[in-house]
Formats: sequence, C-alpha cells, structure tokens
Amino acid sequence: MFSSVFKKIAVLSAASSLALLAACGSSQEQAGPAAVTLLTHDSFVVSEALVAQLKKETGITLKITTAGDAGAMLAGAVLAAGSPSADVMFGVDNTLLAKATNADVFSAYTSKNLDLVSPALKTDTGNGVVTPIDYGDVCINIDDAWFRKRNVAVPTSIDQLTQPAYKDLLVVQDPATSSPGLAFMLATQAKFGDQWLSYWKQLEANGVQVSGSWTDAYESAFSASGGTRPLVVSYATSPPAEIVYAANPKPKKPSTSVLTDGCYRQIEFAGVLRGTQNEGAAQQVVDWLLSPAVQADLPLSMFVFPARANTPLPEVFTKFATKVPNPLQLPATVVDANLKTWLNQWDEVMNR
Amino acid sequence: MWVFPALFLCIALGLPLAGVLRNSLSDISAVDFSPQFGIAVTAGGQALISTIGALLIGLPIAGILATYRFRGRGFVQALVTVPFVLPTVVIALAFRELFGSLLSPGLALVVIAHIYINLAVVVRIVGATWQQLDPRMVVAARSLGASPWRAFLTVTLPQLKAVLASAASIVFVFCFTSLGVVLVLGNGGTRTLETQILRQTSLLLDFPTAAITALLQLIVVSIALLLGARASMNATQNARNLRFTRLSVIRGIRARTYVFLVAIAACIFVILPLISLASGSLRDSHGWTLQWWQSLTELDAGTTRLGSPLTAVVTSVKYAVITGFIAGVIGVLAAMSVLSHRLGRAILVIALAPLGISAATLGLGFMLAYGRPPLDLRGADLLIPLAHSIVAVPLVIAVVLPTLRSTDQRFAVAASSLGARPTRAFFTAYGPILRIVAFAAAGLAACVSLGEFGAASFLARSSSPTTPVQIVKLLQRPGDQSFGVACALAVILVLITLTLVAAIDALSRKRWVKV
Amino acid sequence: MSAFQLQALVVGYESPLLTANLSIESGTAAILGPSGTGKSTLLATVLGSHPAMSGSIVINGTDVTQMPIHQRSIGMVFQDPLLFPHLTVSQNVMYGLRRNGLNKTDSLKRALELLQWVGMQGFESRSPQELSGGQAQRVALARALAPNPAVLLLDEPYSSLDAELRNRLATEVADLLNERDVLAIHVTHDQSEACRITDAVYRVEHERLVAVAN
Repeated sequence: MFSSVFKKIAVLSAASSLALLAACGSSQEQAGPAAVTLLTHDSFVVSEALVAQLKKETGITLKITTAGDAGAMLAGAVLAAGSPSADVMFGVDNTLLAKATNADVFSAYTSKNLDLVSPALKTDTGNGVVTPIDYGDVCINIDDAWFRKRNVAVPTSIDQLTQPAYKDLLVVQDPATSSPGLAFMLATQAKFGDQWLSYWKQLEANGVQVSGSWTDAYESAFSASGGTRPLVVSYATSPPAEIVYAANPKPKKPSTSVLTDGCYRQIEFAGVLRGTQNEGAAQQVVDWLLSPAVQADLPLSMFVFPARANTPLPEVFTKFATKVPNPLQLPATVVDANLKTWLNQWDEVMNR
Repeated sequence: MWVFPALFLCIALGLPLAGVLRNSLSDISAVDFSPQFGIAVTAGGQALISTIGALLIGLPIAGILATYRFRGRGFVQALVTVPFVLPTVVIALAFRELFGSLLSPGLALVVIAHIYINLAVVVRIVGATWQQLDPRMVVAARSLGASPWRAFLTVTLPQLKAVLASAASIVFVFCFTSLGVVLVLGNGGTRTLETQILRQTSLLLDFPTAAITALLQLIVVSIALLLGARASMNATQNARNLRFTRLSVIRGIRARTYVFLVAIAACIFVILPLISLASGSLRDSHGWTLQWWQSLTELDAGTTRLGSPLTAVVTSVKYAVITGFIAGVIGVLAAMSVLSHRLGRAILVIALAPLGISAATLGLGFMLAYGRPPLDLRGADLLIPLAHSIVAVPLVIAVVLPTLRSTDQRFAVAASSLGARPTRAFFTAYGPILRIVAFAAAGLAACVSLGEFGAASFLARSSSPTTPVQIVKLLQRPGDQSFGVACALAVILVLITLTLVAAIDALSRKRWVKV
Repeated sequence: MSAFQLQALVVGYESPLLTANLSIESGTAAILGPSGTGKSTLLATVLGSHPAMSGSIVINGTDVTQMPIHQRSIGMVFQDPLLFPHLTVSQNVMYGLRRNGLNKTDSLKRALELLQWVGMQGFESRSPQELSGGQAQRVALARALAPNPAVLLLDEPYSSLDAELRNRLATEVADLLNERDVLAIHVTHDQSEACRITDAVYRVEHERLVAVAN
C-alpha cells in the first residue's frame, strides 16, 4: 500500500541528489591544458604564494591532491598506472622508488636543472624518470637534559644502544606501519649487514620499546615530550622543528640533539606520471619544484633539506639542523627485492 | 523504495571496490594465506574481549538512561556519544597521555580504548529498545518475589537479547577492523587484518595479498553482521509489544545511589581522557598558557603553514551538513525497505556491509573510481561527504530501524480506512515520527563525518583539510605548538559534537522518538 | 489485629495526594474515585514501587512500609496483563513459584492447576502474544496468585476490555477470589462494578479514604 509513497520519496531524493552531484561536478574548474594536478602525500606543504607565482609566470593552475601517506599515494598511482588521476607525483622516496619504476608509473623526464642537484642525491633517478627534490635523514634523537640530569654519557654510536647503560631508554617505530621506523630498520641492515638481526635481538633484550607510529613514539614516549624514554627514532631536522614550533617565548636552542651514527638518508622525488594529457605543463611543474623559490621554501614547510645545491637555508637550519656526515643508504632495487623478507624476519625476532 | 539505497550503494561503494579488486586480483596464485589467518584469529579474540567489555560497561549506563529521568541525563547521554565520533588517533593520544607510564601500549590499552569508543554504540542501540520496555514489567516480576538483580536477569535481559546481539555484532565488527587505535596503542604487536591491509597496500604494494586479506575481513564481518541481523529481525516479530513508555522518576535511596554511581562513573570514564586533551591545549613547556587558543584564528597558526586551524573547522562543519543530508535520506529509505521488503534481512546485511570495509580500501577505491575522467570528482566538495555517508548509513539504519519498528502500522491502516489516500495515510502515521527520527539520524551522521579520518586523509585537498586530518598533520610534527594547537582543535571538535548530540537528543526527546 | 492495615499512610509525589486509613480482615475491598485522585499511586505505594511519604503499611502484624517489593508478599494485577513476552503462558505462572523456591516439577504442577482454575487449560505452551486481552488478563491473575500473596492488588484490571467481557470477567474473578478467600483490594472507577463484586467499598473524598455503606 505504501510502496507508491516510498517510490515518490525515493525518486524525489534521487533527483535532488543527482542534481547536487551535477552541480558539484560542474562547479569545478575545467582541467584545461594549463591546469596540472599534483598528486602528493599528506605531509606535503607548500606556500600558497609560490603556487600563485607559478600561475603568474607560466599560466599553470596547480591543483594539489593528497592521498594518504607516501605509501598509500604510491599504491593509488601504481593501481592507476598508465591512466593516472594526476599529472605529476611528488613524494616517492628512495625506499619505495623501485616499486614505482617497476610498475612503470612515470614517463621519462628529469628536470632540466638536474645538474644543479648535489651529486650524492642523483645516483638513482629510476633510469631518468624522477628528479630529486629534497632529502632528510632519519636519526635517533636524544633528550640531552635527561642524560645531563642523570650524569649518563650520551651515546655516540648505535652499537652502544645494546649496552646495559642504555637499557629501557630507546623507543623505535614498527617498520611495517611507520616510515621512520622502516628507515631505521634499513639503517641497521645497511650498517650491520648479515648481523642486523642479532643487533635487533640485543636491542630487544635491552628493552627497546616499539611504537606503532612516529606520533606515539615522539609525542608520548619520548622524555622530551613528557614520556619516559630519552632516545627516539626521528629526523635530523626534529631539533630545529622543536624551535620553530615551540611555545612563545622561543627557546634559544633546542633541548634535543641528534645521534649522527646510524642515520638513514631519505630522498624524495618528483616525476611526470605516464599517461598524462599535459606532458609539457607537468614537466614545467617538476622544474618548478626544483626552482630556487620552492627549494628555499622547503626547509620550513616540511623540515627537509633542499636537493638543489647552494640553496640558502633559514637561520634555524644553519644553527640547529645537524649535517649527518655519512648517512646510510641502500640501493632501491635491493630494498625492493628484500623488504618483505626483512619485515618478516624483524617480526620474528621482535616476537610479533 | 529499496531501489535508491541500492543504487547509492552500487555507485558509492560497489564501483570503487570493483576498481580495487580489478586492479589487484591479477596475480592471486602467489598469495600466502596462513599468516593472515593467524592474525584473523588473534584479532577476533581481541574484538571479542572488547565487545564483552563494551557490553558489560555499556549496559548499566544504557539502563539508567533508558529507565530514569534525572537531572543531567541529557548531558550524560550526549557525553557518552562523544568518544565514538572523535578521531581514533585523538582518542589514542589522549589515552597515552592519561595512562602514560601506568599502562604501556599493548593489548590491554587497545581493549580499553575500544570499549571507550564503542560505549556509545551499546548505549544508543540497546538504549533505544530498552526505553521501549514497559517498566511495569519489572514491577510485576518484583511483586512475584524477584529481587532487582533477579528481575533484571529474568525479565529485562531476555527482552534485550535480540538488540544485544545486534549491538554486539556491530561493536565486534568495529573492533575487528580497527586501525587507528591499534596503530597507536597496539605497540606494533597487536594487529588486525586492517593493519595488514595497510602494510600490504602502502608498504609492500602487494595488491593480490591485500585483496585476499580484505576479502577474508569481509567474510568475517559478514558472518558477524548476519548473526546480528538474524537476531534483530527476530526482534521485529516481538515489536508489537514495544511501546513508548515514559521515563520514570528515581524512587528510593538505593535506586538513587545506583543511578548516581553509574552516571558519575560513566562521566569520569568518558571525561578523563578528554581532560588530558583540554590540559594539553592549555599548556606549554613553561606552564599554563592561552597562546594555542589565540593562534587558532591566525592564518598560519604561527608557522604550521597548514592554513588557519579554524578554516579546518569550517570545512568539517560544511562536510558534516552534506553528509547528514545524504546519509539521512539514504539511511531512512534503507531502513524502511528493510522493514517492508520480504528480503529485509538480506537488505539489512548489505546495508550494514560498509561497516566492514576498510577506510583505506574505500579511500583507494574512491581515488580510482572518481579521481580521473570521466568522473573526476576529486576536490569537489561532494566526494568526502559521499565517502562519509557510506560510513554513516549503517549507523543511521541502526538508529531508525527500532523506532520505525515500534511505530504501529495500525495507525496507517486506521487513517486510510477513514478515507485518506495512501499518501496522506502514510504521512499521518509516519510523518511526524519520520521527520524527527530523520533529523536525529542525520545529526548522528553529521557527527560521524566530523570525526572521520581514514577516508578524508585520502581525499582531502591539502589546502582545505578536515579537522581530524588537520589534527593528525599537526601531531606529525615536533614541538609544543603542534601539540597544543592539535589539542585545542580536538577540544573544539568535542564541543561541537557535544552540542550537536545534545541538540539531537533534545529533538528526539519530544514524543515518540528515541535515538 | 487486622490482616491488612494502612495507618495514616500519606501517598503522593512532591505534595501529598491522599491520606489513607484502612483496615481489612478478609474479602475484597473496592476503592472508588475519579482518576487523578491518587488511587493508582496508593496501590503503587502499597506494592512498594513508590515510596510512602509517611505512615505505615501493616500486613499480618508486620510493618512492610520500608521493605523492598519482593519481600512484601503482595500480588498485583495491572491494567494491562504485562505477561513476560519471552516466556510461555505456563512459564509466566511458574515465575513467582520459582522465585519462592519451588522446584520446576512442583511449580509446573501448581501452575497447571491455577491455569485450569482460571479457565485457561490447554493454553500452557502458548506465547502471550497469541492470547486475547481477556485470556491474557486471566493468566495474569493466575500468575499473581501463584505464590500465595497475603494481599492481592487489582488496578482497574478490566479497563482495557470491552464492556461485555469486562462484566463477565469481573464477576468470574470475584467468584474465584471468594472461593479462595483471597484478601484483595480492587481499584476501579466503575461504581456498579465495585458494589456488585466487593465486600466493602471506599471512596476518595477530600484527599481521604472514606468508607461507603454497602
């Protein structure tokens, strides 16, 4: 008896929703040749002024869409390889680069300014498909005040972390769920080679704590944030970030420092996505990412070092960001070939 | 009537999932099942403990809210709902702040957080039915010689069996597929299939294994929901007994003490973690401060470069309104078709299925289905509300169904026999109820949208993140400021939610409708 | 000493509604009066689901005013049957017997007797949903009387039934109660019903219970 009524309601609401859908669809700017979509991860930040400047200088309207973290973003790109939902992708790092190149996500292009990038950063461009944009190092951070107060010597190499003096002091992240956690696992692999698992066994015996995420490790467990552990896996740029994002009045210098041994280098790349309709404009956006203005903006936007050599750094970087002398790194192809095995081995050793 | 919800599910859910499956099931032969199976069993155990805990703690609260009228009742009811709509990451953080060194991350903390979050599900869903039980039934039992506890066990509980099963199945599904809580509080050791899917999709890019894991998850979830739906459909047959009864005044010192203790305990349990958020928003390394609140309106919040935090609040509210509209309409229609269609039970299971689909999978699917021509909705204001609606529709159904059921169809029959046309008869009978319940359900959907993180993190434009996404972005940076502003935003989210839920409750406290 | 006494019992919510003095030895007493005068509140107070403001309720010499409901030995038949929907008819009648310590076999036996007594034999394993209003009310009576309460309260038990059925059932129940010599208090607003079926009639006047000459 009521079905006719229900049908009326249904048709009405269907019509209104479809109208809404259509309205929303059409209100969007048409993606003409001068519009480029940049696919990136959710930590990407760039000053609005620079986007406006790009539009003024080249006529390109840049639309930025995020797709979760770097891994999730890449997953989407791999599934859509060849018919991408964007034109340029930024944020694939040297850990995941091989996944991207294996899936043939990018079309061949490296920035015309690639020669301005520091040589150490461009040893692997996936055979000419990506351009290094920035880099940073994952290092153990130290709560100096904690060590000073207890008169304990600050560790100078990650080998020492298995000693009784540093029992129950370290918090790391699960490499399966956290990017710095993964980088630190790769660092031990690069440093200790075949012995890396026995290193982890000793760390486990020495009371290492494993967090699921950087946020939990750094914001909750790290003693500088009110936790109990004075050693945490984080970034070499965390101490300057502590100053920038500190409460007013800003402290004169950070209360944390960086252990420069056992650091893993992360390089972030940008590339033109294969199958884009805007090849030319997309290439211009890659060049823009490597332009002096954007490069100079990166340190304070994302707390990374610009890839372009001789880019002036902000004062907080020159004063407090630690330059890591010999960061560890593994070839992307080696990581790709072994990652699954390593993760499983790590799980086993850490009783997970 | 069922055509439209079905169409919605196909477009909003089927299309993206089909995209994921098509792209991932290319090479399935190499998949190794066994580890996923073991994790499914462990996660099942965790979910079971969490569900039992949520039922045990939620029942007394549902009981006092459904039985008694007392000062502050509306507040308690709204408060208990808040944890459910807060981003899980925020809750996890609050728990870490609260328990600190007392309880290190691990299974226990995960279970407590799950109980905390799902308390609202138990209180709301069980309470809706409990409120319709005639309190004189208990008095009758008491006059026959049953102590209060006996009367509860032998009269109240059996009548709640069906709704308990249906609430339990939903809580189980939430805990079984939990991601954020497990990541932050699980110590890396407590895992769910969802964390496995995340690892397989975004770290190993092993799509065949991810698809199989997602399928395994969907199977477990479907079984749980089917059991719940079966129980709750059986309840429909008893529905004629249910009627609206007024809340009663608390009588006697013992009842008074009991209600007081339960209400206070519930408030403390819910508020404690929230207090740690509030204090986080008012502190820096030097002590108490208002600077995080003052910086909320600044374009940059100093140097976060994420846009003004308050912009995120505006974005969230906008999405919440659209989600409320879409999910409200779809959910009510779906609930009506569950009741009137002979395949009701099957429709119910399908309509609840989105509960078991991982946010990560959903986000990925949306990106594939709508992120490129011919249907490039990305960046359109509709995409996130659409995804949020999928998450919210099952809850709208859970709210609307009991009320619709308890509305006697005889009203409509009576109205039409007096000469009214069917349309008129329908609205005479259902109109006022439907209007209020639809509002209430839409409000709940809006709350879900306010707190949703998973799908939004996939679909948000970086220039206009939702509040939860903004909070998480802030939490991913070092420094007092990031933490302080994140806490302040979380507090705002709590307050908006509290207001919204209280408004819904006020609306539904008018005759007839119980949310 | 009377079997059932109300001694200056004041009932009400925020303010007093009714003050009752009453003493019954046996048989059925009716309380008459328009709605809103506190009759139902009086029964709720006697039953124990509502607290007394002052005064006392004495049953067989024991002051039960502060006792919890389940220890008072008072049975109640409500306006609606309020049968437990998840139990069968016989399980409903057995409920009070089981609560009073009778084992399963004995309570089933007694329940069947009671069902026969109220004319509901053959309905033992039915569900309450399958009964008509009059049938359900008979079962409710059997259920209330099963544990042998000292006092039975009837709160307009026939008001939801149609007139013919109401009269028939009222007379039948009155006979049944007489036959068993149950002490009962029957609240109604139907004067003729009250006079026809009860031994003593009280009326609410000026917030007091006043005995009416029969």
